[in-house]
Amino acid sequence: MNAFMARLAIAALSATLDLAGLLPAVLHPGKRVNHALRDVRDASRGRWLERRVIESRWQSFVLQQYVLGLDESEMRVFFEERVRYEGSTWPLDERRPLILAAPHYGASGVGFLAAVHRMHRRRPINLFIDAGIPTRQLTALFEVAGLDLSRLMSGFAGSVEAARALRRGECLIMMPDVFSHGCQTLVVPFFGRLMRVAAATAFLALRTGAIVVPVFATPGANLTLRVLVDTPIDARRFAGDDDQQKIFMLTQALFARFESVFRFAPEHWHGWERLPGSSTPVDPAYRLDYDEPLRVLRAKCEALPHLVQEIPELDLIRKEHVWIRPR
Amino acid sequence: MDTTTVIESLALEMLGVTPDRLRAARTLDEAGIDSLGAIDLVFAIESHLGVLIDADALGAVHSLQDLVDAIER
Repeated sequence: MNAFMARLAIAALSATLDLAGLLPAVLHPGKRVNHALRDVRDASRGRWLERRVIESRWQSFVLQQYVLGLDESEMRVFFEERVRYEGSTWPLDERRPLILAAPHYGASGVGFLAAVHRMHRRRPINLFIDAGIPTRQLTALFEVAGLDLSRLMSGFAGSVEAARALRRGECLIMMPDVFSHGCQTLVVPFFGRLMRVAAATAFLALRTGAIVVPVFATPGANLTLRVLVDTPIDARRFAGDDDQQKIFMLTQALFARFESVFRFAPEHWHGWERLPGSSTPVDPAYRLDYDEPLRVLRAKCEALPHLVQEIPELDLIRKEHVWIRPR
Repeated sequence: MDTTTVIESLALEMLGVTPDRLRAARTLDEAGIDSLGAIDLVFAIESHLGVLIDADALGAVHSLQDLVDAIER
């Protein structure tokens, strides 16, 4: 996609946002996000959020298609002239092992390319994902970035390779806000809920003494990219012998940074729709009429699977409502 | 000390998993070794034996025997 077509595509959406509002939720991500946020305490919702979500996703998609179509010299020009870095950029020049914690936020694919452009000459960069098979999109990103696919790591073997890469002083990009169901998880507070998240980022940081840097890449209206490099989290700060506690504290600190950025600009996060299914409210249910208690219990079982492991009978409730007749 | 004995002693020392439990389990997970514990175990084995286990071989590791095979490959 060339620059003219990309700008035309973005302008076309802006002109038809009101019409887009007529789309059903299945085709309108903004409506789905609005719906998902109804159980999140203090969440700002409304038509303005629906519009901003669809704008963000469209701009991110168009920007990625545009960048993927650039040749090497055009890409160099793009990253030098159209990418603006904000925040504490000094960690990017550190020699210590570095984990860039990049949630699925805004134009994260183009953000990945920006990171490669910025750092690859200084040190190798790797990407760890939980999914077993790389998507076509990821493979295309790697090809465009000139990276060997061996630097795309996943699963158990990938975790070991990722740790080895960090020990060599390389950089690793991770996306801590998604995980596969087989991986090690823990529960941290997030937007007034207890959310299940992967433990791998904190684990690798603690084992290798890495700095964890939250990074967010958002699209601008004119085919630009803003990369926010947030306050780094130093794994060495977390002292003590209790490994589980250190993993929890580092993960909690990371997700607290995510939350503060998402609160400021919620439209860019791609995870709102799955939040109700992967988290449970901290407060007890305030309405306990009819079958609400069973609904609350089902939601907790889905968000906290270890409950079902410890009390297998809960699985009956998780799968369907079971009405037990009194003796 | 053979490879199996080394793994069993490291698993006991680092993760508190007894050799009997490790041998009886069909998978490392069943023996109580989660994925993060398995990573720690791999690095301890590599340090102890002075080897580097091939990443492709690690992808096929699910049980104690798989781990022994990966190390001896």
